Amino acid sequence: VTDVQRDDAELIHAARQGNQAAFGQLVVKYQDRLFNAVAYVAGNRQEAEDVVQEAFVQAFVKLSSFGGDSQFFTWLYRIAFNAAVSRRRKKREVASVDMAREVKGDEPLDASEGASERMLREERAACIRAALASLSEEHRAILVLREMEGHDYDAIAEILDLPVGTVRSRLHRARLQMRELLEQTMLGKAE
Amino acid sequence: MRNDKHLDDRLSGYLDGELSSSEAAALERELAADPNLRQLRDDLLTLRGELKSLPTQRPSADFSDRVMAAVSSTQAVEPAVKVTIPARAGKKPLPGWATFAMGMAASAAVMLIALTLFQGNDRPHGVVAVAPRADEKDLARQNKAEGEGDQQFVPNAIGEQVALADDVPQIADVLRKGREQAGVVHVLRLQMGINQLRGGSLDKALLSQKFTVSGALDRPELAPHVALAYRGLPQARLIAGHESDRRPLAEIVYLDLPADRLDETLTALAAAGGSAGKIAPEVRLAKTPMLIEVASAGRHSDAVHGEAGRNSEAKSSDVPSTSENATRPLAIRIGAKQIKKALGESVQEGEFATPSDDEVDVLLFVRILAQ
Repeated sequence: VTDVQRDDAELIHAARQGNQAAFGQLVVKYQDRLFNAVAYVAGNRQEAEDVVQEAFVQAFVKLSSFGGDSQFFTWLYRIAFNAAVSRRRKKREVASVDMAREVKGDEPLDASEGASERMLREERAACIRAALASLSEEHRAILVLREMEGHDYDAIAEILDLPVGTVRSRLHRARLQMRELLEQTMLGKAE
Repeated sequence: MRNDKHLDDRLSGYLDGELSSSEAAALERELAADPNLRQLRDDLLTLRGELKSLPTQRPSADFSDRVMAAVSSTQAVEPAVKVTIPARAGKKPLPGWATFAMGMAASAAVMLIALTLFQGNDRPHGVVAVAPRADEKDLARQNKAEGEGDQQFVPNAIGEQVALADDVPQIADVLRKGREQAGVVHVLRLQMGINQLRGGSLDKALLSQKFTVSGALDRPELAPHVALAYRGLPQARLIAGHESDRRPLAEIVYLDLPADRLDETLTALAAAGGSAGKIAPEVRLAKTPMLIEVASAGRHSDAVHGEAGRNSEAKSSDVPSTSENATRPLAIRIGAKQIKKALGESVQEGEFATPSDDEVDVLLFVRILAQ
């Protein structure tokens, strides 16, 4: 049991006793990381805030069912990704096309970087974001969970409710698809 | 690009440190011998670095405050009870998900609190019933105080498809047992044909029950309150449908309803839907002070009828005056487009152009007024 799990367990225990402030600490602790992942998967900030808020509310409501077999964070991710999928299915709208335009992030500027280098880097980052937005949601989700969030296969399998073997094959297909999209984008720019 | 799928998968497993040492050693030998495979590995490593370098996005500064406000507006709900739908005497119980799904598809009147989680491959993998534990205790205490012994109010399920004629009294009975809980509202779903809604049949049903009807277009300041309550109310949002078999949410109607008017009002509402009309298969309890505030605001407003543009035959002169009688029925109607706008979401052109033969959902937030 890690320190993080022990801390979480204490907060969860307190929250189950009706201590909302304890749950508030869990919200503050995990909201940024969860929001970042969901924002890249959902494709826009408003949707991400709605999804993450819904996930926290559901987590609070269902807290007594959290068995502690997995990390609280993994469990929270699973709730959020289910919520995102359900919402997307309902809306049937391709918010991801807005991703490259909307997602600017909080990236600090590097003062030592020259203007041309920065432009090139920003252009490349824009291509990455556009390619990511072009992927299917399931490919985007698995790439975000692995490459940006650093979850291992077991955690991804739990979050997305997939067999571990499927995680590996889907992740690989997502990577190949992303690579292909980037190649097409760069070729398009060169022409 | 290599066509060996198994090898491809192993390359990702290798990059992620998920191969055994013997598998990794074997793959490294293949990498040493295959420049194309090395190129693919390098490309994927570059891609990883680029994805990691994407800027971190953070929520709004007041996000945690809003989350905790939403948490506070809900109630502790005991979840994850595997659904065991109690059959009524003499009727067959639902056999499982398949029947449940078919029942839903047929707009069957199953009163069931259901949260369906979906896997990535769209298959539902669980149906759970949720019951409001905290309120159960409160209500049990209250029931006891009222001399009802140990009978507990558990508004969770009446399981089985039932004919509409049987359905309304059962729903009314469930709602009635939950009355007088300060701040408690029930969330119901009314399924209607869009033609009936546009034709004003909901207005007529409400007016026939002497409701004071306030439309949000007439009182635009109400819309954000209802939208916020809707947003902070997981029960409502689950009913309104994040699941694929739900109909579009057409509007929310908040009802302040005297307990002795329940049966006839529900019957009138169900009839308003025409042939497609059903009071919804789910009933949920919710606590939301914001809705009560909305009701108070509406109660002090002048009586107005319907939303602009709705083709109702009812006349505003049919509407009784407000504010003299605390138990007078009150209805506040908020359209889906207004809800979305109030939530700060953009409305796409043609988004609410529902085909004329579609069925839609009207969420009914019902607070039962004590006599």
